Amino acid sequence: MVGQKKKGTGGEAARYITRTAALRKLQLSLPDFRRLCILKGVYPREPKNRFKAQKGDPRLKVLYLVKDIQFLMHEPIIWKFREHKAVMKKVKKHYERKEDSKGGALFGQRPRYTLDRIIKERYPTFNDALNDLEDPLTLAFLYTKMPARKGVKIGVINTSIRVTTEFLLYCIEAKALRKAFISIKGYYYQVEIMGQLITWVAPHNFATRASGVDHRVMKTFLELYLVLLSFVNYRLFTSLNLYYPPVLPLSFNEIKNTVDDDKKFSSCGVKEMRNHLLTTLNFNLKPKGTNDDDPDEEGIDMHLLEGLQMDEAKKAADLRTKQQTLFKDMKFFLGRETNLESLTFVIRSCSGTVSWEKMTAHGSTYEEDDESITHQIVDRPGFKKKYMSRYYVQPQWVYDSLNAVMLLPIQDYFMGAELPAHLSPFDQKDDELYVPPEQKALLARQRGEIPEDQPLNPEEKSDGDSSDDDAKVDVPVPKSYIQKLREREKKKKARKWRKKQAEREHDKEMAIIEGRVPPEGADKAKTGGEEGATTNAAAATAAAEGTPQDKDTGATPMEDGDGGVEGEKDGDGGVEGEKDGDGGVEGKKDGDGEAAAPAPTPSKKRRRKKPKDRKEPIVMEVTKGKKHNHESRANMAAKREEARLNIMMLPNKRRKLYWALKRKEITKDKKSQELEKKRTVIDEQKKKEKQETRKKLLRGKSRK
Amino acid sequence: MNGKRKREKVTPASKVFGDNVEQMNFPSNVNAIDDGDSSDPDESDVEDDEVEGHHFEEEGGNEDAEDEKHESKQNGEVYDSEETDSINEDDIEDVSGDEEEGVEGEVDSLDGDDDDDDDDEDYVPKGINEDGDSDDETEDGKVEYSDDETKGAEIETSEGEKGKKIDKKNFDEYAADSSDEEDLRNTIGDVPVKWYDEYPHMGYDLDAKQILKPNRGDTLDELLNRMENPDYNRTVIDKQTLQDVRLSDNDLEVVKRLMSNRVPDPKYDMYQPWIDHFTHEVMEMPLSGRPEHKRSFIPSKAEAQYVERRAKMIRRGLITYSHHKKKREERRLKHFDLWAEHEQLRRVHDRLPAPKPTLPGHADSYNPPPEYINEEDTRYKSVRLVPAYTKAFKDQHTRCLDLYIAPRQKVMRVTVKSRDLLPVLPKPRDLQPFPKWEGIIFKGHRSIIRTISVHPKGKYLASGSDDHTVRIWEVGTGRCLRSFDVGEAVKCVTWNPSNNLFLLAVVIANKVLFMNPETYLVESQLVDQTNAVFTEPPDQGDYIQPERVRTAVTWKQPTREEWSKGIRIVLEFFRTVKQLVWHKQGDYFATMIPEGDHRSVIMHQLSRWRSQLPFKKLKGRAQYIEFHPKLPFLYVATQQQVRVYDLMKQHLLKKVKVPCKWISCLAIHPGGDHFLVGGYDRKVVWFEMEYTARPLMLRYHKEAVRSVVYHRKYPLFATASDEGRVIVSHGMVYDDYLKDPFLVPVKELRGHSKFQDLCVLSLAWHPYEPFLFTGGADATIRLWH
Repeated sequence: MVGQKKKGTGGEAARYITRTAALRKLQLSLPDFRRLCILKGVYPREPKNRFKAQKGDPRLKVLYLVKDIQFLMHEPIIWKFREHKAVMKKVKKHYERKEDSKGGALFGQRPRYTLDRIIKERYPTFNDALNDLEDPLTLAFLYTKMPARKGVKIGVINTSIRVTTEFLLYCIEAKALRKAFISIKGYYYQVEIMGQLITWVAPHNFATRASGVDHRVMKTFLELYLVLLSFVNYRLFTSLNLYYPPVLPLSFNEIKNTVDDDKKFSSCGVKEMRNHLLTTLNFNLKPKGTNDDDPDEEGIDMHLLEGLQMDEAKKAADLRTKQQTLFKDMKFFLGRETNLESLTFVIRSCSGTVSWEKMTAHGSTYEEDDESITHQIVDRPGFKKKYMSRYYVQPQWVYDSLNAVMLLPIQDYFMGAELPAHLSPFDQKDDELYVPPEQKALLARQRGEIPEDQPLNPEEKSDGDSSDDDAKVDVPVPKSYIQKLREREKKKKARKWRKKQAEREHDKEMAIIEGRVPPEGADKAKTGGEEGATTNAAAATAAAEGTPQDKDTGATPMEDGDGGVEGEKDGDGGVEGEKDGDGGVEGKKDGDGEAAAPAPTPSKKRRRKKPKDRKEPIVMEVTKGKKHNHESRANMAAKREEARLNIMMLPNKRRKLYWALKRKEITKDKKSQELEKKRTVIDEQKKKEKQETRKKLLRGKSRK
Repeated sequence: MNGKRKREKVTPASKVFGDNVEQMNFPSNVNAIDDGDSSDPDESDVEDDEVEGHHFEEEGGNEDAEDEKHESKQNGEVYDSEETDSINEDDIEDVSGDEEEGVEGEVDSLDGDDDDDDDDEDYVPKGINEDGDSDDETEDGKVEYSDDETKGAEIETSEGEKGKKIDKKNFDEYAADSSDEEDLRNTIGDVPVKWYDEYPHMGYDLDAKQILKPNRGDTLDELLNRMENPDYNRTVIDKQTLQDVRLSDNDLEVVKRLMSNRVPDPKYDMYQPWIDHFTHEVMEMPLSGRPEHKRSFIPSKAEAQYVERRAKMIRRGLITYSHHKKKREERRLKHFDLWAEHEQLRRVHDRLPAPKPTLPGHADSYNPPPEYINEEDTRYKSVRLVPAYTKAFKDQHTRCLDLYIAPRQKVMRVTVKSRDLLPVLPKPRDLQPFPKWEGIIFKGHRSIIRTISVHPKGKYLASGSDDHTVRIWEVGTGRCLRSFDVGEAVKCVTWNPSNNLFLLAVVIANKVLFMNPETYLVESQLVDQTNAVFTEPPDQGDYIQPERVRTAVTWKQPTREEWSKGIRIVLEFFRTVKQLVWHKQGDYFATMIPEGDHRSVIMHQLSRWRSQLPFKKLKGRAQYIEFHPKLPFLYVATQQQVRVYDLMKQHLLKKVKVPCKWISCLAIHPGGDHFLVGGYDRKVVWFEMEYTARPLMLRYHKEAVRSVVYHRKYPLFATASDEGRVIVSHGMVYDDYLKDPFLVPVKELRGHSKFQDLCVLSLAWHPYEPFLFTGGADATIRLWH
């Protein structure tokens, strides 16, 4: 019994410590501990065995690593916390005694701490800091849109505005923006800085209320993040050989001073600050000296890379430069209803120039009547005064073009047009099963399969064209009463003729069955001939029964040559008519007695009409059937079985994993299928609606 | 006289002003002049500009500071002390600002960096405050010089000398005095004028007569006056006399100088050469020989106390200096490259970086493709219409909470696809031959078929069922050749492996019957040969059966009736027998009695009709027995163990613990080095005789395994289980001991239907073809080929 160890002194139990125990050990209050944890980046850990780690306590507890707590114990900031606590006690005492001046003075002298060392410790290299920049940026951007209030001081908000704007300025200067996306939650941006991709969300341009949120936690985070961001900004600016703090038309402190004089704790000051910052976004920073190194130099020795690698690197570099100069030589003018900040950021990161109305905000560089403006970004249905020299585009075009790394056809985004879907640039994973058609189109365009300037739904356009053609064709030809009568007569005749034909056929068949007539050989030619005749007749009847426009053109089918009839019947446009003219010729041949063959290029419309004809005897036709699955059932079953057996071979754990993965895949698959189905349904609906509207239009035209 | 007196008074006043500049606060008064007196805005503006411009000109060069410096240079030490004084008074922050800060500061605890900004905002120049104080003296809108000032300033009555420019220097005071102008001197003395506000008079003259207030005219007069009088802007009212006084140029000059905090008298030379009356230089001859007083060389106690007090206050933070604040500000705004030098500091132990937030997909777009829109979502037609995201703060808050309070754990994320996990196996068609299709169905039994056995030549199949019959089938056609009613449910049937005998062993209850199920297809020679063996019992000689055996087994000859039924010999056991296995030569066989305790395994010799008990005792309940195909070994499977006995040497060769809760069946590889164990707990375990420590577990089945069999010729084995599947596997065995056997399931056979939760109960391979027979609970036997 000598060597036996006491329980709870080793292993899991000794590795973890509960939060209360940690508090006792550090002699801190819970808020101080929380602040310390946030600043130092210490978080609870999930033990491998909770039961052992909690020493048998069944309740769920927050467990920290003992090593982490020891690490915290050596933190000098703890002493600041304690001193602060002591001072605050005294201050409180003073206030209670109504010694406000003393208390205030003491409060002014309370201990303060700096965070640079902690930041250095948390992010030993600059890359580490960059890698962890998502949350800081998101939080800082969120606070820029926050109205100042009791718990949140204007100083914090102003600092976050300053810091974020500086960061944006750097991104503009470095042309680091890679992706931008407007979501419900806000604007997502992805920048590439020193090879690291950083994504953050900037909220929409509204003052967001924060209700039901504990600001203490967020403020501590923000405190750390703002210091981190300013250090990062310094480094970034110096890396670009720029002054930090940036030399701006109005420095941040000046802005602050101008604002602070009269409006102290009101958000008005912030608004002005924001306004000024907008100015700075549209301001070219001055470099410290002349840039020695070429900006074009990629820094990679290309010759060291081999084959594919080099190609890839080159492609990526080309793409990057293309993106960086996407809006070069373009002059934008932003409408006052657009999000100026975001658009300025995006456009300027792609080398465009931006301005807006002077009345909207500071920082506009040219006015609306500047004739050299190429694009005006407008987010409203209509506009009175228009300049012919520029495009009026909706803001989505800018974002979509940036994401596609090409200038998308502007027709889709014209003012007032129904916008194509705004796709997420982050949702382009390879393993995605369902790819929306818009994305497919975009990819095709990027590959060069669709010409760059062709709008997204050319079918629509062409449909529109064709409808126009139709309109031209069927332009109101008022029918006289006599004409109508004639048509009716023709129909009657055709019906009679068809009946007769059917009887004849029937007789013939009966004869063949009864053995009166030898069915094969010489007779074949005859029947062939008849078939030809019937086809022609059918064509004629079809022409007679066809749509009104057909009626007009093919008013006298019997008199025209057979081919002519068919040609006219089929032809919607000129070209098709010619083609089907050939078909008509072949039809003649059929009539001459060759074996019946289908027309070589049956157009769709013709096929649609065919079923009526099919009731009539034996016209041989090749119909497109379903694609047969050549694999036999047995084979399929065998394959399935193989798969089953294969799974059987897996050891237990792996098999579980396999099934888990499989389940996931299946759900994913289902989801994608659902999406696909939904899409098809929607597309069909749209098609129908379009057709109906077109019909209506046509009807309206014909009435006129 | 009057003028002279006035003149005399000017100088001392200006001197006073010059000495104590700080206390003078003129600017506001001058402004008041403009605002109050001049109702013409244009003019007043001009005036303002002039005044301010002048003011600016003089202050622009920061003359004062320069002057001060100059002075300090000149005056040396003396002025130094003054400077420090001024610092004390000017730079010390007013505590009120801090108080305010303190009040706010109570709300949040530590982040005070931003408070500094607030200090700036709070800061109100001291002078302005004092202005406010001095403003109290002024009344109404009009300018009123306090009495001293009026006295100090040179006042001329506007009535007498309107428009005249009077040269001060040539001004003869006596001449002025001698004028017969009425002396309007008021004798009320140093008393506020407002005391006379309610009276018609404004004071008393030298003769103690009331001086009535002059008629000042109404506002219209005032207006006219302003319009017409060019000197309107430089006229002020003397409060005591209520007379208009036109300020002369000199007066204006004085005012301006006072406003800019300079000595009013331009002639006064501030920098006169200093005459050191009491020089510090020690005179050769002291004026007096008196020794110096002690006081002069002992430091002052009061001063020391004062210094101490100040120091204490500084220490306690009651006094702060602006340069401290500046320093703090600088420190706050100081930027430097934090990562300039690489320095490895201690970090959090075993860091687990937080997972990044998920990136948005198409569905999160403000204008997603239509298929992503759910019923509750809305699609916004343009960016302008997108509302604020109300949950932004909440989301970020939860993210923050996650970052600092959510426990982190290392989790291996699997990025592979499910099919990547599957092993790369050879195609089953490369492992042919193996049974694939159902061939023949042998129908005829009316109950569960418990056992089947294929004749070693492969022509006949025997089966035993719960319907008390044993049936003989022709394999090639599926015909039932014969059927014997044995009167009990059949437990086990096995053909004798010998080529010279056509003998079938049938186990029923506690009996084993040996039958010759002769058919018309069997060669008569073989039948006769078999019958000949059993016509007479063999000569036992002097063999005496041991007691232990005799009570367990008795060999009996059949009756005539039984003989005609095909039964050649009957063995009666003391308890129900479950299994019978033949040794490969067909002379020896062993029976297994599960409830037989130590006598559960009994060995028999057919040729001599003898039985013997190989084991004195047997641990555990016997489940299955099997002979080694080549060597004289017997495998006995108990519930959780397989024991291998060497029958020749009569000892336990090996004891294998099977990782299986209840063994159901056992099969030995024809090579003899491997064996397969099936269990009721769904497991199939493949053992290698040389290395039984780590068997191969084959989890092919979902329910109890009923039977496992090896093919004699092909590397195949089959396992059957209650779930209704028979799985045929390829089991290649290599001579190289280091190489693991290569096991691949190649086919699963389904066809039997379930009956009472049972499905396939027995399996048998064809002796030389890759055909499998399965006997099922659905009373059919199926051949798979």
